[in-house]
Amino acid sequence: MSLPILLGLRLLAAILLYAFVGYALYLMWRTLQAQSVRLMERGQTPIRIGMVAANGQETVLAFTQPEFFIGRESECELFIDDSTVSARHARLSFHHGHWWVEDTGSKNGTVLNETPLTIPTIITNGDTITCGNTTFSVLLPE
Amino acid sequence: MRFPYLTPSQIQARLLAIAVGFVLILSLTLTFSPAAREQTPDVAYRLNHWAGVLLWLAMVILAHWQIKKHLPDADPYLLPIASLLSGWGMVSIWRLTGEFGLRQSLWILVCYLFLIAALRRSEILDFLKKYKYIWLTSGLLLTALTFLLGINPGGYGPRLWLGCCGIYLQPSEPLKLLLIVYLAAYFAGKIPVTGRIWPLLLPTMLLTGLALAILVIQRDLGTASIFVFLYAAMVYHASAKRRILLLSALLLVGLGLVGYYFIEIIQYRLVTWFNPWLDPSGRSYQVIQSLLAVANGGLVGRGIGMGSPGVVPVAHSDFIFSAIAEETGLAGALALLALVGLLVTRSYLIALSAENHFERLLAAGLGAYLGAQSIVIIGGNLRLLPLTGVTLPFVSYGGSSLLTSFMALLLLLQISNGREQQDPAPLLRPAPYLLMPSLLGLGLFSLALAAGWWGFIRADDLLARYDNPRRTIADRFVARGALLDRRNALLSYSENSSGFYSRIYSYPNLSSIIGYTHSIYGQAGLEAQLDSYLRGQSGYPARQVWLQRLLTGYPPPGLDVRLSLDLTLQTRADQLFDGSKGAVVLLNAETGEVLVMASQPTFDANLLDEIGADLLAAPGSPLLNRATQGNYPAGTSLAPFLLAETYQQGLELPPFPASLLVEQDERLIRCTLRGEGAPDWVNALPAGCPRPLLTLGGALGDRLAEMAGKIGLQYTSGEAELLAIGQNARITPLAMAQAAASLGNDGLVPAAQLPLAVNIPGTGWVILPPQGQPRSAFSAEAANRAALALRAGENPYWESMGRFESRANPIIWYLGGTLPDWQGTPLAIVVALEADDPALAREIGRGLLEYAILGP
Repeated sequence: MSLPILLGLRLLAAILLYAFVGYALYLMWRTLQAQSVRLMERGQTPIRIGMVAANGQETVLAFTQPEFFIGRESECELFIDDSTVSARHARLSFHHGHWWVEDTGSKNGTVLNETPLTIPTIITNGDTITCGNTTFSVLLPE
Repeated sequence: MRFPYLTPSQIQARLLAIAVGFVLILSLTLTFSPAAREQTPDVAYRLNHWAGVLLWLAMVILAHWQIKKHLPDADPYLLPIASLLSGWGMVSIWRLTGEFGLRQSLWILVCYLFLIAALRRSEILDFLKKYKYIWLTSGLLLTALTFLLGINPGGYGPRLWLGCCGIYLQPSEPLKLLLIVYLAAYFAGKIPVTGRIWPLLLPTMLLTGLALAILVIQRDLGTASIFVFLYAAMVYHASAKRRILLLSALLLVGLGLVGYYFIEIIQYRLVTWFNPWLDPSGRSYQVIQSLLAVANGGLVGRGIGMGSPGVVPVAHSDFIFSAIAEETGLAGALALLALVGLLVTRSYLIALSAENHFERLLAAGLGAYLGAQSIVIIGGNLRLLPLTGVTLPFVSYGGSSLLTSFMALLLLLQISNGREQQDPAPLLRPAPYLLMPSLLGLGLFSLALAAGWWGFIRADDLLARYDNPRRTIADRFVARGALLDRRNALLSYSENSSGFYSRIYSYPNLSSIIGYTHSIYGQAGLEAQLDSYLRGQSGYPARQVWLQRLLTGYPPPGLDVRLSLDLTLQTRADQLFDGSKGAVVLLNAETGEVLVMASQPTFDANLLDEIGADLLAAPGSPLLNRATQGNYPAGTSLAPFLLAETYQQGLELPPFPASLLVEQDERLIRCTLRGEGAPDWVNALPAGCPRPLLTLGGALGDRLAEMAGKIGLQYTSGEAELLAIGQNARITPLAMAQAAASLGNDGLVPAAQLPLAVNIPGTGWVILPPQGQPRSAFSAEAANRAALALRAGENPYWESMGRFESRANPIIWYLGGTLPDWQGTPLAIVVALEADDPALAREIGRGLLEYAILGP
């Protein structure tokens, strides 16, 4: 008889309707999940900064945070006791898949590979950054 | 950059597949629905909507392919949601009216073609931003043009459309979009909003105010309130100042209050919103019919094509939600709300990832527009908000609304494309992008609660209303049970076949008692009283009623009910009574079964179509069932009960009074019958002589009121001594017959019984329980003595008469019954004649009683 068939069709329509809503929500959740996994995987490239002290001793510091400052102020992550370095001299930050260096209005300027910095610039492995009289070398995985 | 899980076009393809599946199944259901509706497989199946559905399907596939090609990174949820909503709406419109369905299908074609053509034009957004003032001004001019050239395609109502030759556009629809574009472009240049906000708002307020003024003058108040909301939402998105929302809410309430006193339509809408139940057939007709549709939907709905959404006015446009709720139920309604919620969520997600402020404000504004407009119209359908004539985006009938919705869709798709590559624009204050979608979500949630309230909790009460047209529609398709007399002779029944059932009243003289069931005049009498059996809602197992309603939307076939009436006696009574006014009731004195109930003048319920309109005001009130509703003055008819009460108290009859008559208020109260021989108790009491009655009443003293209570006399206290001659005392003929039955039934007043049994399939005739318990009025001895004292000569019955003296409305009562030692069925009869003709009343009473006792 056509009545049970019709009832079946009505139920099927309702199921499809909720399948649509449910699947859309599921896909949104999966996309969120994929996005968070991707961001986690993409992460940031670890950076190491090498510097040579006045006595000739070389030290290498590794940084895990996505942003840090070079400066004379003790709050700076890379703290240099050098009178030619400003309180907050330069900023190194990771975004768009790269490490960037940026002069934060220092008195004596920042030099990247012998070029004075005017805009935020991408740094690569082996670059040297000079703040005042101190020179740092950038160590990034290839 | 690829999604690690699914690409956007994969997501879009999968969701579209489900949406297409849903719409195809819906169309298939609609094709077969006439079989369930007309309760027979031999019907014309509905096929014409398939043209529209196939067109829609082709367009959906084309749009998917084009988006995949030109906007590969666009939001993959928007097209499936919009396609599902527009396909669902289109099938629902086809289901309501083929003509509108065809037009909607063509509009859907136009909208998809527009979408596909505009997809690849990535310059649209910049173009809109650049010429923002031109767009808004032209929108305003077009809207203002409706003052001069406006028409209404329906031929009446507000003239808000422009166009000719069968194509009409309502400029206020795209105007909403232009306002959002303008405000987004304007505020994008002012972000971050700092300092004083009012100078910033001035130019926008000017333009929005202008738009509002045009809409208010046109009485397009739904659109006007959406404008206020959109303006507030846009300012809030840009400035994050929450007081803007508060101020505009106050503004809306204030405007509503002002409008209540000065603008008729606002008053009308607000009154019907606050209390629709006052005027259900007039001003609140739409709202109540909409709620009835939602109630009829129940949990799973009647199935598309199987409900009656067409009885709600403008169901294809303003009330498309209630049409959908009726046929897909609460399940469908909640899914629809969820889809709107998804649309709003996606819009705000797109806004947050937009690469510049213009696109962000635009996307958020579009989300607010789609959400708010849906909430306003669904809220109106569910009586959560006052009713306004706006459309449901993507779903409602109408080219302007559909095109506007698709433009919004296009803009959202454009904005969302490529947001993976760019960095989102900085967001200074995130609060608006959290609060606005939450508010809209709260609105949708309240709608879900309201739908549950009307569709589930209050559904049964709503559906039982007499102005529910689904009851009479069901009567056309499902046979209603018959009413039978005690020997199963038909009194009223349904004839013909499914789709054409009509009610036949085979003994029209009973119309005042049986009543009628009619599509316009509703129900009355026993047809109303026994409706749940006759309609098949009682008597069946609850599961069977539920299943039948689930499958077909109708109750099971109605059940026959047997009445206690005896058609032979009834015919005789009507012959005797012919041409007189009044009522006759003949009871089985022991069981209270009503053998005869006549009320004259009556009408012919078969002719209700022609005479129905005049019946209420017809002379002689033929609609009145005089036997049960005629509250007649008792007059001097109470002798049998006075006598029985005297015997009951063990009192001796007082000395017979010197005179027979009484003068009261300058009126002479006379005996009803002229006595033969010298007056004494034996001949004066049955003749209804007032002075002897008063004497008897005086001897009873306080017992008189007690007696009146026992026989069901309604009296006003005061002149208690006059109760014996029935002044200020009223009683219906049926109650009088029950009282008279006590004299032949050992002093017991039986409960009256009219419906006797109901014929349940598989079980047979099931006796209905009596409608009350007999109550003792007199002792058996007192009752028997009274009956014997009133014996009519040598006849096997007693009788007594009475009269209510009145120049305008005289009443003659005849009371009678079988004697206590009668071996046959004990009977009691009452005649109430609305004429000063004691001889006729006695002739009718004796004639019927003797016919019942002795046979023809």
